[in-house]
Amino acid sequence: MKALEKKLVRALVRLRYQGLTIALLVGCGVASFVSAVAASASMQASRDAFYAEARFGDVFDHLKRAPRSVLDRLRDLPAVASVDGRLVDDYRIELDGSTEPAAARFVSLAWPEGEHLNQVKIRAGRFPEPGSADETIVSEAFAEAWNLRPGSSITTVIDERRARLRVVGIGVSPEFAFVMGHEGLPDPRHFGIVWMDEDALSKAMGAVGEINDVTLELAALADEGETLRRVDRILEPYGGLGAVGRADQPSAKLVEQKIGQLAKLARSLPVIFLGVASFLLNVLLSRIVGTEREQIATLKALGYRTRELAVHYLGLAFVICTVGVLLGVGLGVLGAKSLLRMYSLYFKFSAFLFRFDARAILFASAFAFVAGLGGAVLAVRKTVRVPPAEAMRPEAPPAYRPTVFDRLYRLMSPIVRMVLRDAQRRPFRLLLSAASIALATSIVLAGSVFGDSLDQVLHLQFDVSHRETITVTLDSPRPWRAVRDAAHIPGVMNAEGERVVPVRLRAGPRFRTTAVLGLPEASDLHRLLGADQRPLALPAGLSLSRVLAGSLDVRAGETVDVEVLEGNRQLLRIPVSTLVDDILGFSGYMRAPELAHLLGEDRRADVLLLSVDPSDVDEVTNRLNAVPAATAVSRPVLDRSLVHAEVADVFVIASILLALFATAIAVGVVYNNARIALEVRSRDLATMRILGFSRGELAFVLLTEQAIQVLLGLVPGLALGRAFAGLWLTSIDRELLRVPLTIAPRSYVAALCIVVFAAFASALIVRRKSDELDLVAVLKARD
Amino acid sequence: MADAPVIRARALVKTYRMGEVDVQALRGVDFDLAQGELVVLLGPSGSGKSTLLNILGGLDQPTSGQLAYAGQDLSRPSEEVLTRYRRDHIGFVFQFYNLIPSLTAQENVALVADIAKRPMPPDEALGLVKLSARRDHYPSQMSGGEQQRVAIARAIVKRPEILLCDEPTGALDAATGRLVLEVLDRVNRELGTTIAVVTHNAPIAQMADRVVTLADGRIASDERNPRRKPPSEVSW
Repeated sequence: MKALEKKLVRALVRLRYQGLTIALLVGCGVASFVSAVAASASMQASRDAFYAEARFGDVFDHLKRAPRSVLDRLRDLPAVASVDGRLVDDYRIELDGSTEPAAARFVSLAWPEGEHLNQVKIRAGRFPEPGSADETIVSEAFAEAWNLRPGSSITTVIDERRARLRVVGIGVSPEFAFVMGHEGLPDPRHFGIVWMDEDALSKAMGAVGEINDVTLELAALADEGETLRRVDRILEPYGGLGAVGRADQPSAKLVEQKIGQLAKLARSLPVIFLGVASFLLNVLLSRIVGTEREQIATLKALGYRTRELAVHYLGLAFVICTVGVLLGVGLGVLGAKSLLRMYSLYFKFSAFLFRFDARAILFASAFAFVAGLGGAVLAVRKTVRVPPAEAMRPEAPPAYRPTVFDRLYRLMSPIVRMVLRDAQRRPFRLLLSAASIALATSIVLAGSVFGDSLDQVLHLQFDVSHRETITVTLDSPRPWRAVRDAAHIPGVMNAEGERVVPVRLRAGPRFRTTAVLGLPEASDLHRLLGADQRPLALPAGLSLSRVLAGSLDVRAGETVDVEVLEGNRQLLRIPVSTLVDDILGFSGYMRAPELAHLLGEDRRADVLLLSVDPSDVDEVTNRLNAVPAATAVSRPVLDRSLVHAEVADVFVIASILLALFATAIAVGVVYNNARIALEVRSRDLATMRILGFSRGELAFVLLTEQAIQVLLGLVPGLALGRAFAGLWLTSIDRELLRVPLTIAPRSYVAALCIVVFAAFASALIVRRKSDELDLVAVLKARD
Repeated sequence: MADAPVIRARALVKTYRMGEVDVQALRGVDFDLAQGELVVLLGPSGSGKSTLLNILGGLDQPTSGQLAYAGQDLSRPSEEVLTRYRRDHIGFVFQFYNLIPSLTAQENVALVADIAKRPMPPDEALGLVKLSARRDHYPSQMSGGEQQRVAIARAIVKRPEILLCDEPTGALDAATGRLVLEVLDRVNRELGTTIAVVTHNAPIAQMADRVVTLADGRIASDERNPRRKPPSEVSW
């Protein structure tokens, strides 16, 4: 090894802790990029393979009922490669030994299964025998939630008849890769998918020879928009709800959204880390070449070239970056794998393929090196260029000039003046340090947004808006008497009925398929929310979810065309009276009597909302389960705790990770800056000690500048964190879920505490070093 | 003993900025260095002797004037030419030794051997300054005199044509300083290396072939010693 290389190795050993804190930041940057890109690529590959393998359809529509012959008309459409018709409906599920309400979407299986679209992939067990009346496949997530295995049994009530079904297989399907529960939140415990033989299901549903759900496969280069319109025209007489393409299929949409979120993550986090690492490498190397100015001059006098010395000092940054990159790639792969493991709990694909893109690693590494060496080059360039004789002379004393602050400084002790003048002399470095602290604070704070907002969503949804204890979904619109009957069940304190009418709303060229809910005029159990997230009295006329109005481009006071998609399929023009800020999904709302009047029917209810005495909930649930017309009985409070338990875990892990990242930044900044200040200042500090200043006063001089940086960074960091949080929330599709940007006061406190604590701990370590200052040695050494 | 000069400088002027002050260090200096001679440059602080040495050694460039090494013009050299000149022909010894603290004695010497064209083995150079026993010691583990001898070993390991020494005994006590001067004397006699020593310590001039005195950026006198005294006889 050459002597200069030995010098590099020893410098690395000496600077190992500082180097490590910087390498850690580089590692975090590379890891967050690699893991997000690898997880995104893996999700995409797994999804694409699954969709292709299971022949996921391109166009989907649900209708009331139609004879199978309608499929031939769809097949005749240009650009349609194949068509499948099925029966799909939701029914209540009873699980042995549990009173917890659950429901499942029943989907018919046609034979041979392998020739159809949206195929089920068996994860355990087998397919039902064709023609079997009681054999079923149960979706994997539901099976996991209830510990169902091939051989288990479930009970269902279809068309008022109770049936015992045998689970023979556990399966997954591309249509249900991600299943939303009734409340519009992931809820695998209370909502699952059950596949069963077509003949058996059609008999049970009283729909032999009929279908109510179609899937189309399009030929290559088909015009999807045109096909959707044609499908709508054919299925309209049969109560078609409006065909959607794959992009709007609920499960596919959510999977796509998750992949998009990962891509967004890959673009934001790494930039923060590598930016800070670049800055710290710049500071570190500035310090090194600054203190080694004389050595650089000597080496030049001995005949070393500027380039050789530049390479020597950049070698330090290179090694730090290399360690960071290696660390980052390793952590990134682990991170991607654990992300995928986490997603596999929610997204049910036939297989999770791990795609590890070498280009992503190359890109991340290249970016890390460019950022790291870039910061270093700026630091090294100036000094190694200095002519050797000039470098041999001690650097001219730093220029302090009178400033506007001097008048203010006169009020302070010399020690404070010293600190402030110093901070002020390098405003750029001070600001960059403060900015790094701000970034650290911001990512901790932003990390808490998902958890806090989830709490707020659950609060608004379940405490403010949906206040019923039990929700009962009826098989069809039932006469109003059903509400009164329910109110008389012992333990029921209040009962309300809701009418749910599928509609297509049109405004000019825009249309959306949704439902209009008929609510009691002064509903106590389902309250609508206004812009201030407070309950809103339902006015006469049609009220619309704000997102719905937005996508139709209508405002309150304008009218929309309402095309009723059931019964007599009336065409109505209704003025929009107000906009509602509901949280999940979107719909229209009307007063129930007004809606009944428009439809020309007596008051009816599709859904019952019951408020029940807490001690009677099980009893009431059991009685409702015995009501054949009830297709689903659910308890929002169960959904709520489940969602919380399932999703909150993920957020807690994410928050902890982000807090660790932030700690890495805060430690990196404060430790490095303080170490450098100590080294640069050692002569001043030693002189002060000899002049009689105490160790505490020295620590004050050394660390106050760090404290100023931290304090300067904290408040902008909180603001920045809120901005990041808002940005991250935009990755959630507003049509599915409006998440009000919520950050709890405790999250602000936590973010501040984490950063301040990390900074304080780092400063303490450096302070101990300053206590060990060897006065004589420091003063003997020549400047 | 003196034939064609190895270094020939004419009308050297050097002005530089120190912080916010302009300093005129050389105000028109003519100076020759002949092959194999040992020259001592005398003068008080600020007389310009170190600046002259730095320019002769290619550490610095004159503001105006001519400089030639072995007939090659070095008045306005490129960075690369200067580096080659220092690397291949010049050895430096500094007042404060300027050893690299993170390298051992042997490694400090090897630092130069690594980039020289025809170096002697680093251990041989250490042997010449009688420091073989301290080869694995770090600068912080050695006395000032030892450090300066390592610096000399580092300077001669490349077999330079010229050895330039800036106050080599400036930081040493008399006895240690004499030891260092003996090494320089030996290098001059045994290896035939041309040596220029800058000092403000007049008695040292007795060991030189020629004594040049600078004052206020100009050459005040240039005298040849009738007899070179061995360093052991020099006292201050």
